[in-house]
Amino acid sequence: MISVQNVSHSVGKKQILDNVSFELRSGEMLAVIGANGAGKSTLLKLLCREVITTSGNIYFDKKHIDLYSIKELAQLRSVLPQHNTVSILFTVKELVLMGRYPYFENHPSTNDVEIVHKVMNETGITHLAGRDYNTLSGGEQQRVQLARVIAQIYDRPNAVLFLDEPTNGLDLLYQQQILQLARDMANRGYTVVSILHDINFAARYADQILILKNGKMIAFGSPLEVVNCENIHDAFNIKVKLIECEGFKCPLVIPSGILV
Amino acid sequence: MFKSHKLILSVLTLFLIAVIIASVCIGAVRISLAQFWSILTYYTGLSKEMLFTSQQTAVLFSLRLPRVLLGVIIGAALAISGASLQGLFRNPLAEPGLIGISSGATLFAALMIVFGGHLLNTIGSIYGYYAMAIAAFSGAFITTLTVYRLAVYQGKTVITALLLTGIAINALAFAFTGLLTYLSTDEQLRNITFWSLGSLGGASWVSFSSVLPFILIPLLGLPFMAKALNAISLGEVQAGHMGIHVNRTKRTVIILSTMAVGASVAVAGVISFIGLVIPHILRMAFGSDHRLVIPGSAILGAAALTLADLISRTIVAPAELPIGIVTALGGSPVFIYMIISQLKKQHL
Repeated sequence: MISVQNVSHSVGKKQILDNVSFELRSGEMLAVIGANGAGKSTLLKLLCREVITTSGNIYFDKKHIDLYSIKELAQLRSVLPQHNTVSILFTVKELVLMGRYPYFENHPSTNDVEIVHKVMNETGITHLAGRDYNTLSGGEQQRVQLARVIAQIYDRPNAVLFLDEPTNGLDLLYQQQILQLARDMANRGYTVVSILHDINFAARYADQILILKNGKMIAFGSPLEVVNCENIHDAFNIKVKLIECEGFKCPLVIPSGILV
Repeated sequence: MFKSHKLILSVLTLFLIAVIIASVCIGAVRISLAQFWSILTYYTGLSKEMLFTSQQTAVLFSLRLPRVLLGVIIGAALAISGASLQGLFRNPLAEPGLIGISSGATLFAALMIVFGGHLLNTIGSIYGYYAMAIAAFSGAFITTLTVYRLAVYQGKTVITALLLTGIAINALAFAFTGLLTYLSTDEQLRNITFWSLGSLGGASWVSFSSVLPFILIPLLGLPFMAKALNAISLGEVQAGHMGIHVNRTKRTVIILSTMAVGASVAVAGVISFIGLVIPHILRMAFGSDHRLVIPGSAILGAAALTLADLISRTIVAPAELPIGIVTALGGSPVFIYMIISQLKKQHL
């Protein structure tokens, strides 16, 4: 579904991404991990065409992303950014309905309204429908925003969902709920790309992991292939211990000190 | 949800019609409702009976009606541009008067009066009004671009920068307008003073019909921006992800709202607070959906300014109160309340 070929990006003289290439199939969930400043957010911005690449090519469905119109792109991928402030009063239902904006001009079709109801149901926010978004807790707000971006691609099973650190600032229950919703989307055939900080969550929910360091790819592959002491040392400059644990397909990563 | 939008807009329209009728009937020459009805039926050919005097129709057609209609379109223009600019700036305090757009328009209008020489001999004629409207529009447009540049940082409006820019531009425009008064002749001076006061007193069929197109275009165009402005309230980047052409929306909203503000400044001077208070009332009552707030502001703004003008010309009759005093009396308490509630929100 996504093909990234030799993508580099620089701002001024600073090289932020250096020759990144990978392929992702429909139904796969990719977790991008790496230290702060490794280029994760930039990669995500390039993938969702918020920023145009300096060199290299990105294809969605074998078509170069520059060739999509802004509306086609909106129906093919949705993005959950890291910071979501809403400047004016909106109810939860109105906000989720905004996810359907690429599909209607002034009035939503009955299909749009139905999708909004289904998505609110699936993300467990139906009981919040009439609430003012700004009065919700951080975890609830994040789920509402996720519902909005899911609604945007709900009837496009070929589409891609981009998440930028979706679990930031949430408690453990909400973190798992959000990632499980993302996982469910992948299971239904969507491609999911998420920036994550927690390596254990990345290994548990994602099919593929991409590790970035100073803009370079240092590993790409399944969690079992990629999550090892060497890669984690290299990417984060930390000592780690790997612990096998029953019920986990991949060893757990425990940080155990700072590399000097 | 959309049925209720229609219902709200219909009720507001009925209110507007009631205000218009009250406004054309009340004044030094009184016209009773029955007489108004008789005039209406007589001139539409429904009735042959004349229950009114010719003095009443003269007052109605050549004085009251143009003034009331001018108030209607200017109120609509100010409120709809306020509502749209607030959506664009993502801040409910963005009002043409407060953030300097009206002063920018005034300055350019004053420049036109002083340096537009021969054009201004024809003020009062339709070309004079056109020239004024275009000058005021240019002033409003340049100011809006400046304010947007200074106050919007990374897609977010910095509220202190917004209001301070407004203060600076207001002061600057005031100073320049003041300088211009020294360069102007007596007649030019009278014209400039008229703008700084803000009044519908100069209303005539000529002034009404000359600004009508400049206001009609924004009134018809801005409601189509509602969906995009809703999306922009989530953030410009987010709106882009949702398939909204953010830059195109920004350009259109700025051009259309400054056109409306410029046109109203050209004929009526600076009338503040309508663009601030009207959208705010609608948001408090019915929520922030721009699909309701934008057209609703136009209708309620029209009614509010007509009402304010009715008060301004009757309360101290036979003298007339500048309309700016009436809108400021009603508007400033709401403005202070809004600042306090914004500050509270930031400290939560």
